[in-house]
Amino acid sequence: MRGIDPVNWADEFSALQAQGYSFFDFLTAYERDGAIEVIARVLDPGRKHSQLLVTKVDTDQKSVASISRVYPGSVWHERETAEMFGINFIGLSDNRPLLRRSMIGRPPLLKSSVLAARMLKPWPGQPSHRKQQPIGVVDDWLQA
Amino acid sequence: MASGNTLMPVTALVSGARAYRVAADPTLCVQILDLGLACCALEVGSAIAAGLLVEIEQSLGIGELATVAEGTSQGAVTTILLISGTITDALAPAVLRAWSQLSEPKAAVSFGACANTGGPYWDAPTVTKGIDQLIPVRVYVPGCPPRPEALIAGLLKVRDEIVVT
Amino acid sequence: MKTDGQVPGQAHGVIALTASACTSCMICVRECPSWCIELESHDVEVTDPGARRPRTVSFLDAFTIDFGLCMYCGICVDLCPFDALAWRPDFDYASRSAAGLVQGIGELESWQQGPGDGTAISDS
Repeated sequence: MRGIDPVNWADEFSALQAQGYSFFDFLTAYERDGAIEVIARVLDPGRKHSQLLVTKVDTDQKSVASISRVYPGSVWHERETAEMFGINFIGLSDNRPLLRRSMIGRPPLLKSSVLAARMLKPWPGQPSHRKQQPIGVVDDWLQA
Repeated sequence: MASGNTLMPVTALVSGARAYRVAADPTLCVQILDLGLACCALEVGSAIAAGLLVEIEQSLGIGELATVAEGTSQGAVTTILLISGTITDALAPAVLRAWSQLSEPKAAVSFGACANTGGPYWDAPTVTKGIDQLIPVRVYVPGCPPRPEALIAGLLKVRDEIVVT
Repeated sequence: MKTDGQVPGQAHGVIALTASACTSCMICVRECPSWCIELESHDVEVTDPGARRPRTVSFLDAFTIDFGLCMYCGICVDLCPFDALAWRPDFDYASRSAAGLVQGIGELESWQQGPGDGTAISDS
């Protein structure tokens, strides 16, 4: 896995494609230590070699360059990552959501997003004599 | 053995749907269109591969199904919509459309945990928590996924209920 | 693939309960990712012959698994310290209502008596 400066994100993929990495595998994101990182993998089918690249998304702008001009197959992945993590892919022409009905509300895959179903359903494992919460359930979720 | 209903999962309107006989009850015919919402859909293919559902000659097709139905005491062809898989909110309108396009009499079978209640995705913000929130379900088949044998058991349960009512 | 209508004895068809082995420890309830297990119990004091003090045991009032919600992951079966839960091959328990898939002690115990061999799936 190679860390890439966000400024060079799209250029790096252009360079890789020129080197023979013609096959786009996947692109997604994850949240770690309060920061969102975008990760993508491309392959060189001839040499049977792959490269895994990761970059930090700008915390304030929540934006990163789209690689869809280099790898058109990444459009679907970037659309999904955009709607699930609230990331703005600069240069991505298609911004339609895939699974969400609208972009209103918090992106579901951020750790700060609570799952309302888990908040509203009583946890069957709640002990009677002490306070315990299951994973992903917080008390002050309405304020969150 | 209760006899004589012709059950047709999904729709005669859609080309590519195939008709099958239930091996456990040869008077029971089903027509299946694989909606392929999620992994549960594979179990239908598995039921065919295991010989639990036997394909009816394409040349006989829908016409023969109707003839089979008319020859029975029940007479009516009940069409079954088999919903197997995760119903995301984005896909829910398509399932509703498939249901509304089916002609009466019809029955919906919910196959697997996702269609039954949302299953493993019960807490997901983008998943419908059970297809019965959208359409009336006649029989719920449990499993994640249910076995192919459970599909047959569910179809037999629909038949039994239609005979009873 | 089997074609004789028989499912393998070790099939993960349903989760059965041996109520007498259950200590109401709640591990299965808390670890279930689907929150599909519910358990109610109360404490009873039992005095054994010759014992100095009575001991407290849990009496199982209710134990339900919602098979409409269950993802058949088997975490409950694996984690139960007392082997009170086990896989059984039964598959024929479709219901006419979603609530009908919620099974209590009676049904869960009847599966325990079933024909399965109760063994884990092994590579064969």
